[in-house]
Amino acid sequence: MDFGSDVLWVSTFEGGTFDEWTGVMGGGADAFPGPSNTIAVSTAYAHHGHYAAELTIVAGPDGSQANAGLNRKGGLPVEAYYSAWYDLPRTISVGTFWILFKFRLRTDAADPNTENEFYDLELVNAPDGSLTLQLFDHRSGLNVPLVSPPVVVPVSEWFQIEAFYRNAQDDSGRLTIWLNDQQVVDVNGQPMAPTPWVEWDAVNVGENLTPSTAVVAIDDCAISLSRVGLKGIIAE
Amino acid sequence: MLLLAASGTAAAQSARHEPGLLIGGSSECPTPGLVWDRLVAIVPRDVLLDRLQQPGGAVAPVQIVDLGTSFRVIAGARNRDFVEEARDCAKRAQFAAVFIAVVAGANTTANAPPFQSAPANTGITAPAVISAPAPTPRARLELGAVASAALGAGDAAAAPGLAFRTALGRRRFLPVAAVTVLAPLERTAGVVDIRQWQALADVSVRSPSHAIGRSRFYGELGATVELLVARPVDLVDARTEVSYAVGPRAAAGWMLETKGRLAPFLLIAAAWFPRPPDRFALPAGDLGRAPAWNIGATAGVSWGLL
Repeated sequence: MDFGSDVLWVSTFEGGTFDEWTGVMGGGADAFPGPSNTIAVSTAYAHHGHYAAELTIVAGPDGSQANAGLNRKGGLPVEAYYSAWYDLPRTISVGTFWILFKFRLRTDAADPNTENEFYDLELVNAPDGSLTLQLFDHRSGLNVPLVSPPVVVPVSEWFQIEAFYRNAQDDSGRLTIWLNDQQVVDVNGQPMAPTPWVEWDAVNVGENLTPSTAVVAIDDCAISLSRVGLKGIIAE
Repeated sequence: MLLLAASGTAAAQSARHEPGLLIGGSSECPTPGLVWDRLVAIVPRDVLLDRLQQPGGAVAPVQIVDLGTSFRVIAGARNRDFVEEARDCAKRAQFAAVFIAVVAGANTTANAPPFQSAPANTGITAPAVISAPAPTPRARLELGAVASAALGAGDAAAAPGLAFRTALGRRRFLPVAAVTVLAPLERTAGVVDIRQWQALADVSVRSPSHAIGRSRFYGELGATVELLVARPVDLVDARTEVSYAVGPRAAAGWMLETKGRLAPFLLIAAAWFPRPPDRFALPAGDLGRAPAWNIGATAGVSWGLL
């Protein structure tokens, strides 16, 4: 008995293109500044199937930000789960920042010029050099405390980041993030963005990384009205 | 041996004294022969031959008819049904013999038409069962209210419903067919809330009932087909799905015997579905199978059709 679906949108890259992102209103796939920063649909990585997105940046010590990302802007529900699978081929020493997952906002939902940063889920190095998560709130300019002890982000194996984002303008706002089904943060009971407009980005954005070339593979992205989780199936 | 009762007559006349010529019928429980044996034990042969024998009659004047959970004794113009569900043939023969003796005793004059006068005192008292014979219905139509619970897949859920049942025939084992329709209910399939409708159709065999006072107890064994119609309550892309499952069924019933055609009954039934339908939804994936067990209680009225 197939009861249907709570999945609103998926990207498995199995078409060999970024059409799942670029073919929807407000969707995009881009890398800048070029040409050292690139995006490609590659067979070198795949969580399921044959293809995944390969986002490559060169973020040297010159203080410039390198960007490669996939984004969905606007037309998203006020409340939803956002899921993506990542593979980091190698560990990186993070100088300034290295971002994988973002939510952005508009102060005026109808005005693109009012877009701004909101939450960045970043990778940082633990004292032993391993990678852990950090959530930066651009509104307060502070990192949001995460679970302790920090959860180690695996290298050279696929992991899932999933977020529940209720972009409410009252105290019912909520942002919960899981890494491989383990909750790492729950920002609850406070207003989120000033408008219901939502932008979600799955990205490889960095500055001052060592080595400077950082590759992030992304696959099986979904926006759903219910939890995807590690065992979730996003497409039949 | 019976020919001795008419000793001194010719062989052709002796043949008329065979029990088969006095007590006939196709009954296997009791057999006419067994009834005759019990009869001659309580009434002298000569009296029986004198009072039962119909000169020139081609058919035995006493007929025994086996009706399954009851039997009928036809003695000339009189007949009587006896309820005896245990099919104790010896007991049945005794009842029949007593009834025949009473009827035969009514013929106090040799020339009177058989079985039309008041019974003579034979010194034998008919068993109590004879005093309140209840004819066995040709069929039973049963309508009842159902409380049904689905078990075996997450939380248990119960739903009310209606059941229509029919039992056919008068034989020892009765075929029974039933349809049960349950009210919709909301339950959880994995992490998905669904609204589910359920209907059951079953075919069973009902065992001979055992009587304790006016209560009659019986069992049923058979098979059930379960029809499931389910629709998720809160999925953004919801689909209505129809599926079915088949499995064995067992039930135990109680019925209160009445003098009328209507009798209240209570039935407890359990059905097991070895391969209940798989359930699936995105992104949860496998939601597990539908419940494998269905337990139901039906209370209602049984209408006996003669």
